[in-house]
Amino acid sequence: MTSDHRASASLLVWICSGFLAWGAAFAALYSAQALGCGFDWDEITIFGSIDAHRLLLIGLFLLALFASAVLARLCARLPHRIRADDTARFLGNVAKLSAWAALAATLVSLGPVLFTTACY
Amino acid sequence: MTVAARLRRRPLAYLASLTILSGCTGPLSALDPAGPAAASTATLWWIMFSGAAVLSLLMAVLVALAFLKPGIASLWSARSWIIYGGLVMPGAVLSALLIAALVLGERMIARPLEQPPLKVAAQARQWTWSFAYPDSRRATLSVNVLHIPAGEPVDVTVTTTDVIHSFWVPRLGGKIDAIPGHRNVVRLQADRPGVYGGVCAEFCGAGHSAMPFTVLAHEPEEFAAIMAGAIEEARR
Amino acid sequence: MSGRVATPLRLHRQLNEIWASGRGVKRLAAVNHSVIGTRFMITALIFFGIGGLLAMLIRAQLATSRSAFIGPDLYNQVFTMHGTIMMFLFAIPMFEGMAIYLLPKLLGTRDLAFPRLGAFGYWCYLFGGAILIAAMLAGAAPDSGWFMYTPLSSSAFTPGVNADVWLLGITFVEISAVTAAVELVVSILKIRAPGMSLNRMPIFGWYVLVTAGMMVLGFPPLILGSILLELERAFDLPFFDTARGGDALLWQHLFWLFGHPEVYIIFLPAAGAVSTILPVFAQRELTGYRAVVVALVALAFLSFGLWVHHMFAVGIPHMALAFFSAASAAVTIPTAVQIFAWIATLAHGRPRFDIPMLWIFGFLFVFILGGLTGVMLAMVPFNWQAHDTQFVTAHLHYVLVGGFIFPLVAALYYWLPHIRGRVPAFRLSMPAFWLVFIGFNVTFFMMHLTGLRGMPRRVGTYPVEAGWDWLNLISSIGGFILTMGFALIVVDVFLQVRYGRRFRRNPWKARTLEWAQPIPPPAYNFASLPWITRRADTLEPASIGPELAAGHGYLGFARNGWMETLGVDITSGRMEHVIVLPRQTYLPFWTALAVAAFVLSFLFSYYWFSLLPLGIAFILLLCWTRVTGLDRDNGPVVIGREEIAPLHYETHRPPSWWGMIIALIADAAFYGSLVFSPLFLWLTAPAWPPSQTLKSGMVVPALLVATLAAAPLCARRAVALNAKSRSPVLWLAATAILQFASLILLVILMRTGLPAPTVHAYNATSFALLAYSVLHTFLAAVFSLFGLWRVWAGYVSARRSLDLRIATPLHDYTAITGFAGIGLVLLLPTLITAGEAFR
Ligand code: HEM
Ligand SMILES: [Cu+2]
Ligand SMILES: [Cu+2]
Repeated sequence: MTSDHRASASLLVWICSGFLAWGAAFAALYSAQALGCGFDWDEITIFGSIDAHRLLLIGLFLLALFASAVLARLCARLPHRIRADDTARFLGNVAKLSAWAALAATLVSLGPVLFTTACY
Repeated sequence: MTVAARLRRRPLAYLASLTILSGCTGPLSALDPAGPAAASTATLWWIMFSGAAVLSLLMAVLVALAFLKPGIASLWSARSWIIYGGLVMPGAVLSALLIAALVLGERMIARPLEQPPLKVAAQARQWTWSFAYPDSRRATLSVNVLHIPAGEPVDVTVTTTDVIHSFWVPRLGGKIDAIPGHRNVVRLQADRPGVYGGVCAEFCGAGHSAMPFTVLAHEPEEFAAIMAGAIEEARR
Repeated sequence: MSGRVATPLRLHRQLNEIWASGRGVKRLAAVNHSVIGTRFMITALIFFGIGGLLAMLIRAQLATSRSAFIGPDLYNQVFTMHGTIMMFLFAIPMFEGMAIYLLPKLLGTRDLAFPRLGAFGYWCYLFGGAILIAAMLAGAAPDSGWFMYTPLSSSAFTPGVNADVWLLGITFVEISAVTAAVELVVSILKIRAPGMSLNRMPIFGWYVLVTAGMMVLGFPPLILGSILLELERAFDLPFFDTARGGDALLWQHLFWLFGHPEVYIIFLPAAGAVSTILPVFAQRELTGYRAVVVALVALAFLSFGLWVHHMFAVGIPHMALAFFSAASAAVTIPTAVQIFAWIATLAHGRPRFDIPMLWIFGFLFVFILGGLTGVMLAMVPFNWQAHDTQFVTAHLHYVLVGGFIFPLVAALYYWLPHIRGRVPAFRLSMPAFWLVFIGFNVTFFMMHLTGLRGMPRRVGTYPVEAGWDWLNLISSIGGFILTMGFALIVVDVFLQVRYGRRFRRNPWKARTLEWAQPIPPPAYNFASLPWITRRADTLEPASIGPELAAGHGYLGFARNGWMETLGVDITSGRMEHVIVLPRQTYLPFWTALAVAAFVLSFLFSYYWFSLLPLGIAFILLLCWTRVTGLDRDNGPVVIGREEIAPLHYETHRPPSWWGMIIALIADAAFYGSLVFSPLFLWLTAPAWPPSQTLKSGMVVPALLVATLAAAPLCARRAVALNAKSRSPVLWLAATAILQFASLILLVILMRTGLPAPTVHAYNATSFALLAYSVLHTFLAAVFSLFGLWRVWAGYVSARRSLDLRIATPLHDYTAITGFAGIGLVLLLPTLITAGEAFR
């Protein structure tokens, strides 16, 4: 009985996983942006026009994309892994599509780190 | 044209404002821009407006088609309706719009320039604005009237001594809030000398409706003269 | 009794005996979801009327320039109350009512998971709303705008009681939002007809599940913000006071962290109604069911990443604005997916016309325009111009009226026959629609232009020179046409309810379960519960109905006077257990009344006295548990269709266990916002660093960590012993003692280490963090004592162990948040010094 419950609830968690990762990335970048401006990290130049702050932000952005992509891959396998019944397949598919949507959302909503001004 | 002159000619302006063409003009109209920030925002608006008009028409046609002529509308599978209508079309339109708006925003923010622009300070208080000119040698101050030189960017530092207010001169550019403990900067430019209306845009209590101010943009020489001490004369 | 075959009529009598709410004064004891749902809806509609009247006052005032109709003081109260009523006392409760009323019917069950909680929520809503209206009649209504920005709403600028009315009244009402949200989530997950797996659930169930989930996460930040602001107003703790380390922007973040999801919380259920109604008139099931579910998930999450688009002009750097701008653009895509799923449903069906469809067309037209202006406002440069102008007022009404009122009227015309068993005799709905549609567009379309021509929102007078007169006059005329339309709807509904033609079943040929009920629906919904073998929007109510009424489904009998319904597995919908629901009781009413007494005494600044009603409310809440539980092991029971199932007392994870989990998630959202506060202030508030910080030594914190960590271990030990049929008493007692010890240590830390909370926001937030843990250790201790009592009274056995297990998540949560809180309070001074060195 217990393991069934776990399986049930875990599919719902998988559905949320992609966007939870998006939320974490969003919060991380927003905080890093605010912290960097608070402590003037944008005045530490690394090379050329790239400063420490932007480097950090772009690094976090790429990390977030990578994590989202990995999650999307994991979720994409869910529907195949679960042969059990049509419910599990349906939820697995929803998880897969949500994870892809979350990857797109990460790209779009955090993409501005590449070109927008960080502290003005 | 001064406000007074506008007032004198009000009946005419009033009639004119009833015609659709001039429906966008007015002393506080963001669609009657007089500076680069307001002008590009107005352009953005007209682009978005036309796009929205086309899109809403399209949607109306599609809904009507689906309801009245399902035979034709069902030529496309449900899947393609959802993918092309729900994902591809808005995706394409929104990406283009978003990039354009962000690029425009980059041009408007008050980031440091090679040649630092003139600084003026606007201080809000329930329910008046006072303006100071830190760049002028004499300590000049004006109440509810802001003097700026025309044809060059000006950075307005906006602060408050009590509640939140918002500094907005629609014909010159966007607004910025005056928040206790914070110093916010908005970069404005008037292309020509003239009188531009401003209002407090953030609700600030009983006097919120009555917290207007005016921006007087002068020829550079005139502005210099005012800063040199002729403030009384300009205040009228 | 089970086994005996009853005639439909006899069965009806027996079940009605158990389920029906009493008449007269006994009505106050009602817990039935149909009664509670209807109450919510009717009360919400009354508030809508009041809010509408206020809107007319606003439009009358704005019709001409330099209007002297109402002065600024009154005007500010009027628009604040209009916004507040519409958002908090109309839209959200209306949704709650709709969901509470409809869900069990659509899901083929008899009631929701926590009927008493639903009743309690209603009373909280009613009393909270009444306090606001009373204040308005007394001329002391809130007047700082519906988002109550500080410092305008702080005691320095609003010294009167006005702002307290908002903070306390709305928080009171929000209790009902959170309780309803917890109840709805758990009910959808656990209480459906057997066989109704999540992919067979009517799409409305998904909409409500997602919406309720959003409420669980979205309301706590506002509740926290309101509590902090009320603490600042009442006890001078400077959370938002710039001079003492607070920041007005903290309020804005907390408010909009709630406020943006809020508008989707309002829109989604209405969209759910459209997704339910439109397929009926397209005469085919909804296409793209899965796409819609994905869209809902995406929408739910994205809507929590948009809040700063209400703060584009507060001076946040462009990059951060760009994140939120892009997310705001992205959120339109899930909405577009839904719209095209509806279009595809029409395209692939055999659409036919009827009144609900007319309102759905109105919805599509108005809402799409609102969505388009929403995209415009999401663009930063345009927002800088349009923000806080009448353009925003226009936009928000296009989405709120378009996205909520139009679908709501469609739903009203669609389900009214179900509620009252009559179909309309007159066609007043046609002219009413056109009045509303034309009136609405005339009123609000103009306001886009008024805004672009420079008219700010929330102004009561404006100069002639501005040239806004004719636009405003047109808007005001439109407003009165709109009102006439609404009045006509009221008349039409009255006529339908009184004089409509009676009919037997299913006037729309709908294919969902609620139409398989007898109409008007009985208190027990279904004489026996259906079993589902395909998607539950493709059923045949005409054949299911009589079968269920004859008792051929599950639980087609009355047993022990119990209110019984079935609990299922969360995803697969496999039958799991029989849920015995609590009977009618006055307790929710009395408890809410006690809370109301608390709110009122706080409002009138009797702070010490207010502890009395608070204590009474707490004791009354404890009394709720007296009637639940079994004093002996029962074993599985017959449920009909030749199956047996255990009672929920004897299962592993009944609804109440999930209720605890969902409540803790809401609590975590609350705590997350609380933790965010000092960190945010440290980074942005001007008057930092504080001059004094916490000085505690290491002894008290070390002891605290030990007691906090030991309590959950003891609690687990008690559960484990009980599972082996050995006495858990000792370990339960130990848990309670440990929690009390933590409580005392926390108080010592607050009293000795912490500088006075009124001096600086650092002290105030640290105080709040520790006080939060004090509260939780107290609650956890009470849960342990409760467990002791249940063991002593014989309600607990190895099989009936829920009373012990339900506390485990709470003990864990208390320990985790305790560690986090102490850690943050201890670390923050170090962080501050390190930061200063860095800066
Ligand atoms: C039924 C007809 C309605 C009319 C004629 C109407 C009219 C208005 C007007 C004139 C304002 C004031 C604009 C200003 O000066 O700032 C306003 C504000 C507002 N309305 Fe409505 N409204 C209606 C319905 C609604 C509904 C259904 C909702 C929400 C569900 C709503 C929510 C709001 C909010 C949140 C505000 C902002 C209040 C504030 O600024 O504090 N309104 N409305
Ligand atoms: Cu103001
Ligand atoms: Cu929003």
